[in-house]
Amino acid sequence: MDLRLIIGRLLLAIGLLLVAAAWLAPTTIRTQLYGTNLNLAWGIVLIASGSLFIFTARKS
Amino acid sequence: MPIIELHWIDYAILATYFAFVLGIGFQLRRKMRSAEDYLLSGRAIPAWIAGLAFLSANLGAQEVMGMAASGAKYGIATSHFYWVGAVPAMVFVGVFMMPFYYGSRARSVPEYLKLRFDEKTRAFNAITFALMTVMSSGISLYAMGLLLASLLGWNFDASIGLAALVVLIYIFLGGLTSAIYNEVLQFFLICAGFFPLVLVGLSNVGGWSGLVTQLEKVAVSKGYVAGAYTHAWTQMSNPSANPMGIEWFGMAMGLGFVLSFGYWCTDFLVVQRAMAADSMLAARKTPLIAAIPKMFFPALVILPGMIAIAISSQANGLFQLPVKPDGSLNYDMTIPLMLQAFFPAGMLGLGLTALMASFMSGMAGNVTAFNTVWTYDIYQAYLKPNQSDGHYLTVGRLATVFGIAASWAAAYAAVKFNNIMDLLQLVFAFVNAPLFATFLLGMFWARASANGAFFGLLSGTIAASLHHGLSLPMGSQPGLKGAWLATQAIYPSEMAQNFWTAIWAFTTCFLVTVAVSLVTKPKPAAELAGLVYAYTEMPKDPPNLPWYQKPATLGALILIAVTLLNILFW
Repeated sequence: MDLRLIIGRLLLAIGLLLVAAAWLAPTTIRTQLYGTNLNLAWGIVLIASGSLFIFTARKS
Repeated sequence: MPIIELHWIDYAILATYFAFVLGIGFQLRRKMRSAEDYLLSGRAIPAWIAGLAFLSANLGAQEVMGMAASGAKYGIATSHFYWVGAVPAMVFVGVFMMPFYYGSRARSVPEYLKLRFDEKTRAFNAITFALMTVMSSGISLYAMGLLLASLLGWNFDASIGLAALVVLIYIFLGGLTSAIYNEVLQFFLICAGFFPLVLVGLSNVGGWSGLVTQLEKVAVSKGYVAGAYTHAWTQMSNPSANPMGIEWFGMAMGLGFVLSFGYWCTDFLVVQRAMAADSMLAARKTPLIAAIPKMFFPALVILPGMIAIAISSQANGLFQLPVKPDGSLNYDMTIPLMLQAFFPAGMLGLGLTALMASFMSGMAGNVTAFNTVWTYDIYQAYLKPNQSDGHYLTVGRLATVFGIAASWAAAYAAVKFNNIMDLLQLVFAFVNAPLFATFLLGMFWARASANGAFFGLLSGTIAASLHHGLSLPMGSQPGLKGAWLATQAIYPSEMAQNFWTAIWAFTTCFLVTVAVSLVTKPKPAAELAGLVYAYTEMPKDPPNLPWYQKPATLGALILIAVTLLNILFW
């Protein structure tokens, strides 16, 4: 069992949920960081990180 | 503090995490074929996983929330717990001590003590350690139940019942490997959950320069010089000049040497992760790999506390830290307040998941250390020796159930006894500080005898009790805080009292061990091979190993980096 795959999948799943939250959650002042939607920005970061883990696990 | 309303997306994130945690347990279930697989991970864990688990085993939520609280209370000087009180000891255990732990093939720290000294020293350590882990795990559970009840309005009994059940399932099925894998997941969740919190918080106070300006005002308003919250060392010449109330010698000797080395080099909870590594080289690299993120962790867990106190001190700040019944600020609420103030639905779920993950991993770390010590050092050693491996595998699983049940009971004991946490801290200081002297002499002085070690350990613990019984932190009443015999010394803070208790315990244990060893018979040299420096061939690095993988080089680079961090925030 490759732990990188598990980490990658977890980050990917949470990232996708955050991207969904960017559309679904109520818009408030707290959702913004430097003019960017925090859920969307961080969701994309987690999706990218998760994908990277999955890619490195599959590559080896 | 108002109750936080969670959105369904927050619950979805929490449920996703639980599904992964339980999934790991079910996946590993079939690989647990022997007691060694279950209790020692079959000594098959790669260095990077063991390293992150070594770090995360110490990252329980009390640590995460406690460090943020200390960041708010003491400022950047809290980083000493990392840069002075952890990283140097982690380098030491990796470079110098792991060859003995791993090379001796001992299955636990108490078993090493048996091989090096004798049964009575092992029994003393095994029993105190088993009790400490169960209490510590119970308090982790209690703290989680309390937080969820006050923050989310969840039912206390249901919260701790659910968390205990999840931890029970994944450890029962996958043993130490399952705990280690989940600790690594927890590490990434804490980074993912807290890093954006720091970014948003810093942006709110005007970046690093805005934070420094605000904290200078806080320091002056409390009677310190402007840099007391933003400089780690400049105010350490005088205990009354810094919020911690400690001077540089107490800091360097008490925290940096005795408490730090006592914990990182001898506590089986963390050492177990390195002993599960797949080779001697991996075991030596485990604490070194852990030390790299460890030195940057103040940015994730201490900085939020500093940001919180800066915001809280503003007249029109986004939030105010709540006040306790005695009128003092409730610093423990720092992280929950920050999450509530800055995170929208979605991110809030991620932040809470990170907190719950650290609570559960803290508990799992204790339970896996407990089941190993119980099975090998108490049950196999004294109750039923010479049974089949399958028998000890079953006992290991039953010890997991018992450990969780005892933790659950300890959580309810904590509800009834307000001071149980103080008591636990005290027991830690009494047990760990003298233990380091025993290990230091045991590993590096072949003359140290079994009687010397036992009586040294005993007298170190008694010295710690006496020092505590005769001293008191300023403003406290005699009792659990100290001076239960007489008030002979007053310390500026509890921390100063703890550091000096540790110094007394270590010094007494060291001197008594040396004195008794000199008049008693040591073990013959033939029995000390692999256990003592003089009779052990230190492992040589493979010939083609890249420089950055060599433990000594890696250790030296880490020490240089941590020195630079100290200078940068001097």
